[in-house]
Amino acid sequence: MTDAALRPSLLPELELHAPTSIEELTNLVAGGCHPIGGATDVLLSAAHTGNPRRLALTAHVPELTTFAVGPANVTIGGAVTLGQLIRSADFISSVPALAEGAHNVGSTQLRNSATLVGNLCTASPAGDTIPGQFVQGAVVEVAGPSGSRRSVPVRDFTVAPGRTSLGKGEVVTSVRVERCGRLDGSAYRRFTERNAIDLAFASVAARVWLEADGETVKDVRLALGAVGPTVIDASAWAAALVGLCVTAERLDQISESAALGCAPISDHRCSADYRRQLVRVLVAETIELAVDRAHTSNAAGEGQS
Amino acid sequence: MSNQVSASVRDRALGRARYAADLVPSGAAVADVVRSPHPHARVVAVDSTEALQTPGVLGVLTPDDFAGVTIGRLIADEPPLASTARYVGDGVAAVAAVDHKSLLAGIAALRIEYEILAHATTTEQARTLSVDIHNTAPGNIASSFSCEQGDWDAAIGRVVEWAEGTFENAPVPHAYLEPRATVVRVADDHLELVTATHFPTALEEDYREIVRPWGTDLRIITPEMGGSFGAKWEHPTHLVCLAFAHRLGRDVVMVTPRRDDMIAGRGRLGMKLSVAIGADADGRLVAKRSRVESDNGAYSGHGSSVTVSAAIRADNIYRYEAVRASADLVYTNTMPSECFRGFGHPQAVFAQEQLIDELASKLGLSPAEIRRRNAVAAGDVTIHGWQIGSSGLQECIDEIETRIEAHRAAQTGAAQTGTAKSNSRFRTGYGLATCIHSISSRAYDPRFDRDDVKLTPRPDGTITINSGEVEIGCGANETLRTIVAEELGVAREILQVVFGDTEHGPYGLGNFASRTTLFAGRAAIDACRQLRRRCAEVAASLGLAETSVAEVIGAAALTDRLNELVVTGRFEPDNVVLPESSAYGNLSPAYNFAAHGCCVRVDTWTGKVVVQQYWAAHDPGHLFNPPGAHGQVIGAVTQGLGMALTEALELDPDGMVLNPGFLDDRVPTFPDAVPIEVIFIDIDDPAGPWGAKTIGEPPLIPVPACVANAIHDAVGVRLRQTPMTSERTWQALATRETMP
Amino acid sequence: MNTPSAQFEIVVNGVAHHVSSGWHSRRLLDLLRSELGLVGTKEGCSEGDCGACTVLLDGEPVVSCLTLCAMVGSRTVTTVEGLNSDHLERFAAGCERTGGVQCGFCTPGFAVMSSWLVDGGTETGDDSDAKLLEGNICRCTGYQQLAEVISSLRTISEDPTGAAP
Repeated sequence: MTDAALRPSLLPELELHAPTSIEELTNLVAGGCHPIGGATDVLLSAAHTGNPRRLALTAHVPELTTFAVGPANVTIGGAVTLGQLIRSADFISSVPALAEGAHNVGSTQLRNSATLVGNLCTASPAGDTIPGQFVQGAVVEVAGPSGSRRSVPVRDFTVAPGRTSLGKGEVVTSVRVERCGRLDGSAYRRFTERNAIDLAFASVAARVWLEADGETVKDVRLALGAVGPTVIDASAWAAALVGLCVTAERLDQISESAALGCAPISDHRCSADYRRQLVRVLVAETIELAVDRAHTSNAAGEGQS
Repeated sequence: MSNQVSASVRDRALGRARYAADLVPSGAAVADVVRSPHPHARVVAVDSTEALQTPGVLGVLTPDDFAGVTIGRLIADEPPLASTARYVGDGVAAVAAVDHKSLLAGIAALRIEYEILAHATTTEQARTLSVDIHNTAPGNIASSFSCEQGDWDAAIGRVVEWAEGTFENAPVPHAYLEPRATVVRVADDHLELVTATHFPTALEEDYREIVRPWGTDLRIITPEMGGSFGAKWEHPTHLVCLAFAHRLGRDVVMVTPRRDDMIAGRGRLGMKLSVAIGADADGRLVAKRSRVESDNGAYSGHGSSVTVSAAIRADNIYRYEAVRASADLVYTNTMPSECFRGFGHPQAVFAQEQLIDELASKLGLSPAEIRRRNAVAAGDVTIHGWQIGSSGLQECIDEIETRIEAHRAAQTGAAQTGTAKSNSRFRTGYGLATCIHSISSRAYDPRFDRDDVKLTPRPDGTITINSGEVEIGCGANETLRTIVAEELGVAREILQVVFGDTEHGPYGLGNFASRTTLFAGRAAIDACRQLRRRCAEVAASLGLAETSVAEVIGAAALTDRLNELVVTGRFEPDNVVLPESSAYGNLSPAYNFAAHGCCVRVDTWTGKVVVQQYWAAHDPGHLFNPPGAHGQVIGAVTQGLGMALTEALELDPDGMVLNPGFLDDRVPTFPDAVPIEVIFIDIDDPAGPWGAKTIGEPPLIPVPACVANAIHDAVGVRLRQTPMTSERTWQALATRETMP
Repeated sequence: MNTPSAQFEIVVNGVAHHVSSGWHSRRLLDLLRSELGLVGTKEGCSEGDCGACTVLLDGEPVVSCLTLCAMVGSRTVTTVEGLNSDHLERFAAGCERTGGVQCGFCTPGFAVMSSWLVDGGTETGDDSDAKLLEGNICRCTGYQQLAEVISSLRTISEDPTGAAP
């Protein structure tokens, strides 16, 4: 027996906390509060389902507001908005795949509220910033109650649609990603039915390192979004490129492996077969774009590793 | 309550327009409808004991409170609250409370017992399963229509080529920006219903019958309408708010949250059309056979009339010698349908215009030539009895053909000089489609088709224009002020328009069929001419010499004779007839025509269709408001592109809406906008005010067909189902490629 | 919010309002419309997808339907009612000239965005107007006219003598 009625889509009364330290925040979260950055996903859930109702703002915890583009890494605090990230020219040139993902989330207005860590913790397989975090080697910094701290590679962080490996009372303090260096380029591409305000049917992030000859692939990372329960690390299928030059035939081969290897579902948005086809198209395009950027980074002498 | 003066374009741009939700009286109770989670279930009992004890809850309404009451102008089949829920989202109770917190608590505290019934969420299921959605409709057929015109056997004897096919159109939410909102104010001896609707006069007529037995009366006040496109007419929420206000003696507001408004909203009728068209050896279209099956959803709205329109309207644009049409409107356990810009015609044109392209190809004619050869013209009486007073169709087709050819030549030139990367992935194609539109329909109200406009000069020298029509965003306000300013020789600034106030407003049949400019415009001209005569009389009796309307109003104000200058103008066309049951008859004083063209690029790897250029040629006659008319076309084409490519109401097998919001109901966004060129053919109609025919609906009608024809031109596959999503196009290409 | 004070201050259109702390956990949109009577800001979708409720926080656009009052902090709020009146008049004139308004429900959101854009609003510095306006849905006009209005406003703002057409 279902409920007596559909729940009206109205926001319930909320209990809101504004902790000013990690300790306070983790204690609130341990006590059942949901941490919110921009709250753009959480408030929808609250209106649609009535939960969560107890919320804790992350914005007033100083550590969570860190945003630093360092020589080798970029650190993005839990309360840093996507708008802050993509207003930084350094950020865009350092982590192109992640910047493109961030630029595709929601809309201009939503990006001014929504955070990168929020997008990660929502753990949607179609989350636009997650494939970029995969290829930029993201490490998720986690704080728990009683002062515990741990670091989790992003691929171990999202475990199922809407589920992360955070334990009780744990919050993400920041995400640390590697900058692209010389002969090192990344890119993110997605397919949406509409040109804005849409969820990816499939998405791909790629990162390519080239040898000094500027042609031979030294290493490659590949991540696929919206074609599995979590973002998929597809680097192993792309490894066939290592030690070789990028050719159309080799890209076709990798695209085919990725298309066959991923695990899409059919839903009201599109079929699994179509998602596989999109992976086929996007993988080649995205790797090509990453290679172009690796070339450019060499010519411009940008970045350092 | 003072008049709700219609906001001008400037007021709207400044953010000063006031919609129902902006007019909430302080202290108003908030109400909401309690919606069934089941597609089909009998409400056995509603236990409101606990809900009524919830702090802040003011009242609960159940289906028993509306026993015997139904709404629906054509088929009265929708109860304000349903004792049998017929779709997921159907209202089965309602709660009023002091605030939203108490409202939510009250709804959660209601106990509702259901008896689950078997359901049918598709027309096929509704026809075949033993499910009885309304006890009054055997086979779940809400209405049926059939007709035959001309000598069928003689006509088909001359056919040398047939084109036929079955076409499907998904239901599409209207997706207006303003969610449904209703305010009811309690006045001394009546209730004031403040809500956006296409037909305030009809609302008053119908609801008055319901509230009078309560011992009260009714006034309808029309605030601004934040978009409707055919969705906002009568609605159960109006009666729920009226009943609460009456019972509680307190003002009431209900604003339906977007998500709920899209679950329990209205949508364009999903349709399946099987159509065959036959041509003779000269490329003349001689015979057409149509079979329409419309998905009505749970309640009828204007579905029966929309379905007849889908069955016959498209026939009137070509000189068919014989037609046979039949149509069924079928109830399903899904969201109720409603008319939507085009009134069933976009669906029919989607079928007809694709088949005509097929015939053109079989007969070796160009798409433009076959249409020119068959187009009706001024002076024609069409196969269904429409008397064509003016037509710019030939000119529209010519304009589109010229642009397509020029664009194609430029593209080919670019390709030949090697600037365009030539590969097999992206293919370009061109499409053409046409439409006719009937401005108003004499069939709408069996009594008459008429509009009145009242002019009331005020002591401060201003003039109030009262119309029973409404401003739905198409610029009726600007149009009426332009007409009155010109006809009276007064400044626009002294004119204010009040739409749809039943205490002050004269009769208006309602805003549908893009009829407001023609009907209210003609009535306004009549009113202005009466006012000028009255002014002359007053001026003469006051001994004033030749003088302006403004001066006479000033003099009349000083001598307390303003009431002599209050006039009501009327337009009731003399050349329309109430159509026969076969739908034969001239149902409109004028008809407008359009031809559209587009260039699409198809990505054969993903199936994604990008419209690179769109051209829309129309013959609206005189333009009172050129930027407004231009904007109507751009906006309607954009809506049509949404219907063509991305928009659909998506349901799971149990009738739950899967895309109740703008994230998944993919209406075009700013980055989806395409270049659209608008071409107006300057042909005046004898029936129109200053020759004007109007513009609102026609620019949407040919769009899906035009895009489908362009896709076929680009990649050789026929998309016979809207929306023509990327996946469907990709599937069609894949299927073709695997065929032997 | 666990602050002891019974009221907090929020600056809207240059005016400091003292509102009860209960508003901390409620939507900025509701505060504007029902508490402050600023009904120019519209609620279209309640889910952040349509942009009709757009306001500026310290000059940057957000959707007020997904902004809790506590999230505003010390930032100042600008609604359509608080936009520079010269700008707003020019925006309105542009809409009249191009047919950029029909039902008008989305228009306040576009008015706010137009002000932000003309004041140099950008994200990456390399975005088209269409991209920056992706979060504002208009169901009536088809956007082309609004694009024209904004580009003409930009011309005016870059040529303060007003010599440009």
